[in-house]
Amino acid sequence: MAKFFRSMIVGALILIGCKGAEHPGGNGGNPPLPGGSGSIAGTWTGSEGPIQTNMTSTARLEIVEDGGVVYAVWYSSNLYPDAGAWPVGALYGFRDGGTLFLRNAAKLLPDGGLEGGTQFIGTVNGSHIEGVDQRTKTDGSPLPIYLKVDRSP
Amino acid sequence: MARPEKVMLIAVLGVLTVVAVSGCTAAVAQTEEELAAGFTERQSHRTNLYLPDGGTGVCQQFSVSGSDCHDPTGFPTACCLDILPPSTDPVGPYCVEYGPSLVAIAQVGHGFCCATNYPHTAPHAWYRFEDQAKPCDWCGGKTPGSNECCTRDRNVIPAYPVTDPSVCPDLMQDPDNPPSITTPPCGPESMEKKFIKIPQAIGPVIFEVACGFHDVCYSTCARGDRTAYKAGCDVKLGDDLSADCAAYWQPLIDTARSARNENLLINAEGGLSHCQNFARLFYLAVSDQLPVISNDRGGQDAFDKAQKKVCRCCKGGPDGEVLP
Repeated sequence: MAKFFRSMIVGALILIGCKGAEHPGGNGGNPPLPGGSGSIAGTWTGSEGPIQTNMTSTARLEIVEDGGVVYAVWYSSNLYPDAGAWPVGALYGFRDGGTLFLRNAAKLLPDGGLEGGTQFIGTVNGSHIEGVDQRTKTDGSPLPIYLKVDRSP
Repeated sequence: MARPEKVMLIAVLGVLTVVAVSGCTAAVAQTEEELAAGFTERQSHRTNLYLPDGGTGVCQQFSVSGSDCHDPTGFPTACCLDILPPSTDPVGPYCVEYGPSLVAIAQVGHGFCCATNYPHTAPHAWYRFEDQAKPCDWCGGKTPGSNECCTRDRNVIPAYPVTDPSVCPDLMQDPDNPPSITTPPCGPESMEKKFIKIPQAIGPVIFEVACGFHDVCYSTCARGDRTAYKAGCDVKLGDDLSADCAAYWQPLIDTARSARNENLLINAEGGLSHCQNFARLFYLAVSDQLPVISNDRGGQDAFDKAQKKVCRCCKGGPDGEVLP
């Protein structure tokens, strides 16, 4: 069953070979990053959690980028100290300069659009990414999940 | 007991059985299926069967053979003589073999075999009795196994592996490949070696049961609309995983809320949110709806591969001459 997560990787590899025009937000180029240039693809590690001042869970982002279109798998240790092994997000969207506009766990529609999921907005500054995923509590009130990661060597 | 007496006894039993099943009424409202097939009324004494195209199939044209039976799963049983549940017939099941002139009736209804004991008289009633009869030895005195087929010359042969399910209207489960659960249920080890660790649980929430059900669903030969079948498997997986998440986290949330413990509450809400996200990712992945895999049909490919493994087919074989 879960073998299909391989497809995420396969898809990511496909994405690398695709043109940005095939994806929402594709701008056909690689805008330079603030404080540097080039892609943000790669592994980023740090912490995350719903309390911004006490992010105790470890986090890891595996990012693939193609022409401004970004896809990332978000792993988290959640409340458990297990090295952030659990995939808890699939972020998809685009990067505009140093800003990430992504949707988490959105459904791909037949027309190429996205449906559902949550909004993740982040900033890229050199080798550091910070962002917040706007979730919802069970009572309907906002539940932001904060994320801070640095590029892994 | 002399043969005519036995026949008569069976006939009486048959009539009684049918009357009992039919609620002791001579005229019963037609089912939608029957109406769609062209039946206009159900009567206890009836010789003509009105087909959808307006033609008339005459029951007397049936070729009745005492020991040969038709396909117990696919052929119609709309027009029969008095019938008996085969299992209660001491001389074995008698089934109706439809004559070639009434092939069109094969498009009307379906059910199990008929048992009849008036082979030399005109039929005077027809019934639907899928629930009464049991499959009998219908292939030249043999009953094909679930991975076998009956040829037109009444030989039992192995079923064909399914190469194209769309041309096989009678898919069946291969008994050598029953529904199964992979080890571990939530993903093969090979995936962990490649890149992603597939968790069997997220924290204390165990997903193995939900994944196991999904494995069983994929490895059960699907009949009918396979797209809808797969979608049903995937939706159930998502629902089951989500329910697993809620079963663990919701009590914690309720407890934290009651105790007004804000830190515990927000962390539990975060845990539930992550867990639900994980469940949703699994669902989107298996249903090929993750945005990153817009050019990938990994979920469909896996389903097709599983179905190819577990399904066997009689129709649609190389010679196209095999009965279901």
